[in-house]
Amino acid sequence: MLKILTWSSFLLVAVVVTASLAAAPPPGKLAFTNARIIPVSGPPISGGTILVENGIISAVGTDVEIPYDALEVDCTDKVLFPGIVDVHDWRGLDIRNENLPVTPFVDVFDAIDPSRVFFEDSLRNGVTTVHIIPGDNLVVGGLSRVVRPIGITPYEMSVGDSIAIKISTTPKSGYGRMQQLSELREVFADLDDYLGKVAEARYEEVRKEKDEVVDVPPDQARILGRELIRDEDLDDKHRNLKRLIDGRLRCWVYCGEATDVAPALTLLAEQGIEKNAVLVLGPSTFKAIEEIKKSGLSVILPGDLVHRERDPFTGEVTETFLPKKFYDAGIDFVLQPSQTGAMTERLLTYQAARLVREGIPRATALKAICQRPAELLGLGDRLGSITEGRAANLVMYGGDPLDFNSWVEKVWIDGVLAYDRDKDPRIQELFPEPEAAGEEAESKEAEESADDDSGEEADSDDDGSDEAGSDEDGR
Amino acid sequence: MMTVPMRPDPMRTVAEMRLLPVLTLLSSIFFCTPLAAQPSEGFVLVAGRVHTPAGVLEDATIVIRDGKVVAVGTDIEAPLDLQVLRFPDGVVTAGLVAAAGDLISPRTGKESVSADYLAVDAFDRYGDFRQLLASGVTTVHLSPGTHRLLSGQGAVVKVAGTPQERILRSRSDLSIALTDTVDNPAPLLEIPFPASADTPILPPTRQRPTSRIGRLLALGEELDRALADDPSAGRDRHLDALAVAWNSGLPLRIVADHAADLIAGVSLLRGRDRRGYLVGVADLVEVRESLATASVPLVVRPRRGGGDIGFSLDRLPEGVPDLSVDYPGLVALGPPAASGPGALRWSAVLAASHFDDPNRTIEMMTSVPAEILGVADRVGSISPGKDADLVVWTDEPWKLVAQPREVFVSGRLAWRDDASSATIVRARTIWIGPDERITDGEILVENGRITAVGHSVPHPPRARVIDASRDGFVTPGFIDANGHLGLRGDQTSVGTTDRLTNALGVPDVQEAMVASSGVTTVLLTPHRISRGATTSAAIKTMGQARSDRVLRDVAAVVFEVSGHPKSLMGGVESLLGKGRKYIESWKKYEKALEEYEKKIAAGEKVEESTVEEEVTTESTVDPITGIWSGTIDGGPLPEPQDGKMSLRLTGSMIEGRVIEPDVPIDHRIVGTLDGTSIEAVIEVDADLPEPPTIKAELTGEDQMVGTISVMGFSVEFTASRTSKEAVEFKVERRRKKSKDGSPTPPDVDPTLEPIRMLLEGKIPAVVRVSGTLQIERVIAYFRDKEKLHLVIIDGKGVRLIPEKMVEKEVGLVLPVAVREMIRGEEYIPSDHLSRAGVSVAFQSNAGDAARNLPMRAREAVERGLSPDAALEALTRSAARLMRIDDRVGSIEAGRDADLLIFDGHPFESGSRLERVLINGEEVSR
Repeated sequence: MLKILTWSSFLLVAVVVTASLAAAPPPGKLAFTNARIIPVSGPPISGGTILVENGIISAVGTDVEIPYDALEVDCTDKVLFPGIVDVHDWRGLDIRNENLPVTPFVDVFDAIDPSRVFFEDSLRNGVTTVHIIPGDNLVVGGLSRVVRPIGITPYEMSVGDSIAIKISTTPKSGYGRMQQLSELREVFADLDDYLGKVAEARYEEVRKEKDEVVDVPPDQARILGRELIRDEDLDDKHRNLKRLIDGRLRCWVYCGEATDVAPALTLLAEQGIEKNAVLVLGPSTFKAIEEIKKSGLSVILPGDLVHRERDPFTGEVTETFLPKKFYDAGIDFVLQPSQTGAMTERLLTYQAARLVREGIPRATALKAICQRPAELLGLGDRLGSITEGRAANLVMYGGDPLDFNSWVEKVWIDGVLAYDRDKDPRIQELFPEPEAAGEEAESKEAEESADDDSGEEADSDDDGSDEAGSDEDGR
Repeated sequence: MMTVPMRPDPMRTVAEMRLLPVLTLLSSIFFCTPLAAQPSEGFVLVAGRVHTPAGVLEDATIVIRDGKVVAVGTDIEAPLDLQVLRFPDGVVTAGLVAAAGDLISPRTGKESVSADYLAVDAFDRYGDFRQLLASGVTTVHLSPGTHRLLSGQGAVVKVAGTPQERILRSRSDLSIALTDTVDNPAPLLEIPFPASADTPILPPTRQRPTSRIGRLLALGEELDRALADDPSAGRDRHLDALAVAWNSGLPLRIVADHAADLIAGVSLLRGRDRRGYLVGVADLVEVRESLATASVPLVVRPRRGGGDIGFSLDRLPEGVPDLSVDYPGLVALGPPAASGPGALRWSAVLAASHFDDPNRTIEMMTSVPAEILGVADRVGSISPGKDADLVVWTDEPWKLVAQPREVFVSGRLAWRDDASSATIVRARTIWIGPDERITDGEILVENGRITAVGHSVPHPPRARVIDASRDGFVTPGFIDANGHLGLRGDQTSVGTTDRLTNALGVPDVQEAMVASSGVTTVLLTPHRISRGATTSAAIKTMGQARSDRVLRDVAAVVFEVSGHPKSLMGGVESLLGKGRKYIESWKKYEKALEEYEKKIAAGEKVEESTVEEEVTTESTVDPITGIWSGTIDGGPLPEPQDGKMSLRLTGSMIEGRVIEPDVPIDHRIVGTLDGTSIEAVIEVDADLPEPPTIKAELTGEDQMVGTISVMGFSVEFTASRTSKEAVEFKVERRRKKSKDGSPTPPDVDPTLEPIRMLLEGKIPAVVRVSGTLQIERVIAYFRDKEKLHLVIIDGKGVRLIPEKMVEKEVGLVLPVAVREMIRGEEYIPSDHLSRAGVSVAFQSNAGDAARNLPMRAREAVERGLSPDAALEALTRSAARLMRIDDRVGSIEAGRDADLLIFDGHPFESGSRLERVLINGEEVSR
C-alpha cells in the first residue's frame, strides 16, 4: 500500500532529490570512439565518435576532435544505441494497483522499491529510463514518476517531477462497464462540484481581504472564484485532479477494448484535456483505429502485439499484428514491454525486431522504443536519441540491437557507467568465470592440435563477450 | 514399400490443377453470388414473399439506397444502376426487434435505486454479434439489469453496422424491476476519504425494499428524494441522474413475473402519470381486465418450462399465453424468459398456434416492439424511409424449420448462411419411375447429393427451401447418351488413350444453354473414331469445380465396327487380347505382392535381390524393317510408278526414307505402327502447307497396302519387303529387383486401362454398328463370348431382333432421327423398341445441340411413345445402360442432386421447365 504524502513532505522530497542529483560527481569528459552509432534521430554513423561533457552529449560524428583531457572509450566493433525508454511500467512498484478504485491522491514515488530486480533487469536490457505508473486495474489512479534504474533511493532515481495520472475506461476487476463509467463520470462531476464550493469560498475570502462586499450571488461566485483557487486551498483528494484539468499533469487513459476508446475520447473532450492525453491501448483496440486516428492522440501499444480472435462459426483463429495496423493507418505509436507475457516480449528490442519482421521500417521501430516514448514523457529534448545536447544515456551492444545474438555490454546513464556485463554478478553466476576460462583454453588447444572448425567456431561465439571484457579489464 | 498396386493417372491431376482456377473464376460469374454484389450505395431485393405494413406481398421488389428502403411493392421497376439480388424462395421480413433478453451483463453497482448506470456503456460497439444476426435479430433492447429495483437506463441498439450506426437510442427508458430478485439488496458500504474522527467509517447502510409490499414504496420515496429540490441533501449521483431522466420524460420499463406485480406496475404508471410498458411472462388472460383499462403496452415473454411443476403455482407449463384475445394496447413478443435475444423467433413459433393468421406473430417481433421501444421511425418495418434492416428467411419465420439465409443491417449484408449447403425441394410430384411417384413430397439435398426423399424429410438448420408444392413436378436430370458438348479443336479420337475430360473447358454459354434445357449429364465421345475404338467420358453440363463436372473419366469404351460379319471383330479381338494380357501382368504382380506381404507379415526373410537383373533375350520377327519396293498408282499419276523405301522399326516408331525415285531434297519418313496399321508423314525440308502422309495396312507377311496423300491428292500404293536387313532383333528386358525384394509393378498403360475396366465389367462396351447380321455378330461376341456389358448405338437393323436384345440384355442408344421411313411406312424406333422391352436411351450426337434432346423426346411422344417411357429413356434407362446409375438418373438417397422442376409432367403439353439443379446448385436461366 502506498503511503499518502502530504504536500509539504512532497516539497521536502523535491529539495532532497535536487540535492542528491547535484551531489553526484561530474563525470568529466568522455569520448566514445570508433563506434557504429545508431542515433535513432538520424541515419547510423560508422566509425563515429561521441563526445560527452558533464553527462551531456556535446558532439556526435565522424570528425569530432577529441579533447586531450577526455577519457577515451574504444568502441571498435561495438554499436552505441540511445538508452531505451520504458514508457509504461508498474513493475518498480510493490503492487500494481490500490484496492480503492479512485486514488488521485497517491504517488507511485512512495512505493518505488529501488531494490527490485526489475531495475537491474532494465539496465541489463539497455533501458535507462522507466516511467513508473499505476497498473490498469483502476478507475482513477495516482501520480506517475520517471526514474532511472540506478540509485539506492527513489530520490536518487527520479528524473524530475510527476508526469501523469492514470485513468481507465476499461472496467476494474469486479466492475462492469456501467459502473466503471458511472464512477469515472462521478469523479469529474464531484471535482466540479467541489471546485465550485472552493471557488465560492475563495471569492468571498479575496473580496474580504480587499475589504469589499460580496456582490454576486453564489452561482456567479462559483464561476468567478475559480481563477482564484490556489493548490493549497484544495484537499488531497482533489488537488491532483485540478492539476490534471489545468493541464499541469498529463492523462494516461487505458482502453483495454475497442469499445472503451469512445468513452475515453468523450471524457477527454469534456474536460478539455485532449492535448495532454495519451491512450494506453489493449490488443483489440485496432478495431477502433479510425476513432483513434481522428482523435490525433499519441498511443502506447500493449506488450502483447498480436490480437487473436476465434470465429464463432468456424472456430478459425485470426491473428492481427497491431503495430502494422497502426503503421498502415499512419498513427505514431510507442511500444511498451510486456509486463506479464513471455520473457522475450519483456525486451523492447525484441518487440522492435518483431515490427521489422512484419514489414515496418526499421527507423519507425527504433523510434518507438526510445525517441517517441521520450517525447511522450515530455523529455524529448533530454532523452531518447544520440544527439547533441541530450543526456549521455548510451547503450553499448556487441552487435545490432535488434539482433537476438547481441548483448548489452555496457550502459552509461548521464555519462556515468551504470552497467558492465563483465561485472554483472548474476551473469557471472549463470556463466561462471573458471569454466569459461577452461573452455577458452580448450578451444585454444583445439586450435593448435586439430582443425575441427565447427567446434572452434561455436566456442569462440560463446566466449566472444568475455574476451571483449578481458580487454577492457586490461586497460 | 509399395503395398497396393498403383494405377496413377497423371494426366488427369495435372489438367485438373491447371483448369481449376479458370473454372472457379468462370463459375463465379455464372453462379453469381449475392455477396459479390454488396454495393454501398444500394441494391434491389426481389423475393417470393415480403412482409410489409400493407400486408404480405408476393414476388415483391424492395429498392434500397444509402442504407434506407426507398420503395417496396410488386409493380416496381428495378433501377438500372443497382444490382438485383433474387430470392425467389425467400420470405423477407424486417429485422427482428428483441425487446428483452440479456445481451449485456447486469450492472455491478450495489445501489438498489440508481439511474446513473447506462446500459449503453456496457454495449460493445465493436462486438461480433453474428450469432445473434444468424437468428434474424437486428435490433436489441439493452437493459442495465433486472436484479435491482431501479437498475438504470436502458438503450436500444443494432447488433451490426459501424459503431456510430449501432446505437439507436442511448437512453430509452428507466429500467424498473418488480421481481423477487430485487428484494433485500446487499447493504451499501461507503468508505470516506480520508477517514478521520470527523468522517468515520460507518457501518454499511441497509437498502430497501425488503419485501414485495415495500417495492413501490421504496421506489416512490427515492423518486421523491431525487425530485425534491433540497440543496442540503448533498450530491448523490444516483438520484441526480434519476431526476434528470425523470424530468426528460423517459418511459418506465417495468419487468414483472407475476400477475400481481404487473398490476402493481400499472398502478405505478397511473399514480405518477407516466408513459411506460410492462415486460413479463404472466398469463395475460388472468390480468387482462386490470391491464385493459390502462391499455399499457406489453412485451410478453413465454415461459421456459423445466422440470416438474409440482405444487408451485409460479411454474406454469412452457408456452405463451393466448395473445389472440382482445387487448386494447400494443402486444409484442419477447424472447422466452431467461433466454438471450436470439431465442426471439422461438416465441413466435410457440405463439403461432393461437392465431388464425400466424403471420400476425411477425409484426409482434418487428413493428410492435419497435414502437414500444420508441425506435419505430427507424426500424421494425419495411416501408420507404426506414432503415434497410432486412432478413431473408427460408420460410415463414414462425414455422419451426425456418431459418435466416441472409441478414442486412442498414443496407449492408451483415450475415449470410455460408455453412449450410442443405436445400429442400418441396414438390407436388416427385417422379421416381414409371410406376412410382411421390405426391406432396420433399427431397433433401446436402453437399450436392440427395440424402433423403419422402413425404417429410429432415430439415437441417438453415436449409434453403425451394417450394414447388403447388404444381411442381420433379424429375432426375436428363442424360445425353452420346454427345460432344464442349469438344472444340481436334475432333478426332486417337484411340483408347483418349481422356476427353482433359479437353474439358470451363462452362460457357453453350454449356449453360444445354444445362438450362434440362440435360444435366452427357456421355462425351469424340466426333470421329479413327482407330476402331475410343473412350467416352461422363460429364455434368455445369459445375463450379472440375471435380463437380467429371462423373467418370472413362465411362465406356466405344467401338465402331463395319464390314463383313466374319471379319467384323478382328480389330476388337486383338485389342481385347492385349487388354487381357495387360490384366494378366497386373494379376501376376498382385499375386507376387500378396505373397511378398505374407512373407513380410510372417516375419520371413525375403531374399535380398541376389539376382540384380534379369536379362531376357527374345527373338522376334520385325514386320517392318527392311527395303520395301512397290508401285504407286492413281490420283494425278498418268501411269503407275515404281519406287523403293527403306524403313526401320524401333518399338512402335517407324523411321526411314525413300530410295527410289531419287528425291532431290532432304526428307524423312516418320510414323507409328499400331497393330497392323501404319501412319506416317514424310517430313520434307520444303515449303509445303502440310507434309505428305502415308497410311498403310500390313496385309500379310511383308506386304502392305495404303495411300500416300500430298496436298489434297492421294495415290494408292502396294509394296512388298524385298530385303530384311535385320531379320531378327533381340529385346533385352532388364528387370531390376527392388532392394527390399518386393516385386516391381508393371507399367500403367493408358491405352489398355479402359480395356481393363471393360473386361472387369466396370464399364460397358458401346458399339456403333449397323445391319442385323452385324449386330447379331456383335452381340454374340460381347455378350455370349466375353460376357461384357453391351450397348448398341444407332443400330440400324435392331428393329428385326428386339427379342434378342431383350434376351441378351443389350441396350440401345436410339438414332438421332426420331423416325425412319421403311418401305414407305413411318417407323418410330423409340416407341417400337421400348414397347418391345428394349432398354433405350436418347443421344444428341452433337455439341450444344444437346439442348434439343428434350424436344426430340417430345417429338417421339407426339408420335406414340408413352410420356413415362420417354422420361425413363432420358433418365433411369440411360444411366443404367451406361453404368452411371450409382450417381445419376434417379431420385434416390445417395444420388447426385441433379433435379429438374417442371410445372407438370415434362411430356404433357403446357408444362414448362422452371428450374434446374446440378449437384444441388441452381443453374441460372
